[in-house]
Amino acid sequence: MRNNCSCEKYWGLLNDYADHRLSGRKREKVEYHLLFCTECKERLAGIREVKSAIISSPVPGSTDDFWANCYDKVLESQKPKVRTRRRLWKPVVGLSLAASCIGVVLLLTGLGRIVENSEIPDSDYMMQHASFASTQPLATRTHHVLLAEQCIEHSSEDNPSDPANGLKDPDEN
Amino acid sequence: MKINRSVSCIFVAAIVSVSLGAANCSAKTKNSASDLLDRIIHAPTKVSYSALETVTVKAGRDAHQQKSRLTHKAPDCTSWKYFAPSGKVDRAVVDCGKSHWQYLPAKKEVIFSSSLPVDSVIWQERDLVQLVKNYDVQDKGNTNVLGRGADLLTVTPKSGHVGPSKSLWIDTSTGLILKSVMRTSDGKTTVSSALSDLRVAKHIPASEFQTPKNVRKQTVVYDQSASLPLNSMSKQWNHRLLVPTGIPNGYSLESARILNKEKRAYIHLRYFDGYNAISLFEDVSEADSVAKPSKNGDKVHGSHISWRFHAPFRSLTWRERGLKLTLVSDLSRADMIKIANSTKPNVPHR
Amino acid sequence: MDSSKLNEWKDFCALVADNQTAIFQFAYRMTGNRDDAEDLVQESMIEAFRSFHAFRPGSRFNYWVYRIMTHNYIDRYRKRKRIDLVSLDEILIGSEPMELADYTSDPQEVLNRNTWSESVQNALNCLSVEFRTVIILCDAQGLSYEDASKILKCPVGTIRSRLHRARAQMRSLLQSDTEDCRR
Repeated sequence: MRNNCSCEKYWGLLNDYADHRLSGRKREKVEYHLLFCTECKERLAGIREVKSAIISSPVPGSTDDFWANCYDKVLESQKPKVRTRRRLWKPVVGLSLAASCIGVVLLLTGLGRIVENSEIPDSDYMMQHASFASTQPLATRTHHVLLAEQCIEHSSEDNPSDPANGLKDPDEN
Repeated sequence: MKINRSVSCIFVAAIVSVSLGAANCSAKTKNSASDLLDRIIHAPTKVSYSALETVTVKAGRDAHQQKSRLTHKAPDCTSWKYFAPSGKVDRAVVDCGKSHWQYLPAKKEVIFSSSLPVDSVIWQERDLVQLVKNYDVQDKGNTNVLGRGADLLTVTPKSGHVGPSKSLWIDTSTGLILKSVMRTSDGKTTVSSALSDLRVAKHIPASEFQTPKNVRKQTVVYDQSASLPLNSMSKQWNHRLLVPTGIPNGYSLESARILNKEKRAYIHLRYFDGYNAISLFEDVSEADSVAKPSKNGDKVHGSHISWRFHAPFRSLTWRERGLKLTLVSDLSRADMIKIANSTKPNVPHR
Repeated sequence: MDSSKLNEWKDFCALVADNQTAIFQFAYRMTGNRDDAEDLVQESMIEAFRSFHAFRPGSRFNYWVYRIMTHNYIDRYRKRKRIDLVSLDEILIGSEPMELADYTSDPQEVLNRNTWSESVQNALNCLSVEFRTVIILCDAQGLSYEDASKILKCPVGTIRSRLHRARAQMRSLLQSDTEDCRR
């Protein structure tokens, strides 16, 4: 068994060796060292194991609709926007006035709730519904477990057909 | 004022016990079923434990299984921790009754959410009355489950009532639910859970439930508005309020709330039958139609609809009269469409 | 669209179609989940078509897209840190992930573990952005150090060093995933 101190100079080279980046004399030196050093052999095996794990780990494929939608979005992004902006100033002024009036009315009526453009995501609704379900004595924490996993990660309403927990609706025709 | 969940559970259980005694339930089956329900309510406040839980969801031919290890501390802080199947933490969920947080180790993130509405935590006596009215609750006797003595309790909807059915195996010594199998109201999804490696603990250190260090934190706020009568809600909401008139028999309006998320208000109407719930959410919307309409062309009041499935619930979304409406339940699609089609503007009684 | 733009669009779509799988896989490995992967691909495709006139025909289209996706991902990651989250503690780049107590002493539970691919993705998710990018480009997508250095615009020596450290971290993460954690 070799002394660790002499191995250190080879550790950096093991990755290069695993990546077939060594040639000539350096490569021969590493190969000769590996004949006698168990520790470095194990290190090399570990590097190869990680590489092979990453290469061989399967990745889920994209859904059928995804690429079609993607192309649509790319085309949409190409539509010119300048013209729309130029003509907007009159309606923008009008809308601003109207919005201000509505805002004043709302404030005066004591409500003053501001409605944002972005809507409440479905995940919030599911969470509200499920949080009640999970407090019932007959409920086990199953609902809360399953739904908390997806809801808090803010699933997108743009893909309602994509099942959030990987399960398809069994009632779908 | 927030009410301690454990105190409320004991209080409710006392009311339940007295009411049942006063009602003079003669059938042995009914009494023992009530006893079992009582034990289920009490167990989380009495028993601290750790167990491995396996939850399996079967929806049609698909199935999803999640294994997790949970830790529960009684009586003051009800807490859970969930581990990934490998035993290494993927996610931890802790609920202390007052707050709820999730720890996502891979993202080094902790997400806090404020606690649930107070009155949703208390199981009211009226809920038991409603439960027994709509469901057959029966004690099926002793059995052995996962190496432990257990009492089998079954809850099945009575004839004519639409609701889920459930079998629960309740540990004789602790009152914990060792195993359960639930079939949804539409009969198409089954959720089963089983505890194994159950270890009852005398003491679980508080350090088990502390937020990890060196993590990013974010907060999600869930509103805790009180439930309102529909007439008052109509006035406060200042938009059209749609109310379903075709809710299945046995379900009644349990609560109506205006909730807020980041200055955006929306409505939650919840219908309850003592066990199962149907929710209707209403949100002001500028959009004309749903993003991804249902492929088979189903409509509600002439508008396209979209479905989402988060087993065991599904949601139905449509837009009308300047609102986005979302119905959430475990009922069949056909039943949900009927309910959605029955929604009408609420006319306040004078 | 005029005819030259239309031809450009056709060429673009043909190149994307040939590399769809690799592009999506790269996005998935980077983000760790389908939703974010789809967002990343979509954003990057929009940008890719916008700058398609700058793409040299004959060069590797997927490498060109990886560069766009990597920069989009890093930008988004930085934005997320600033805007969405309130940072109460210093974020330690490249540090080991937190571990919580595991009560199990049951060998059966050790056997009931994630599939290998889930462990690999989980371990990738635990790496810092810099390490994850390099290991995905070089080991998962098969790029040379030189190609990776062009994409990430840093010296080959930096790529080499990051890759070696990333592999060491991955090994440690994957090993701890299969061992019975006891306290």
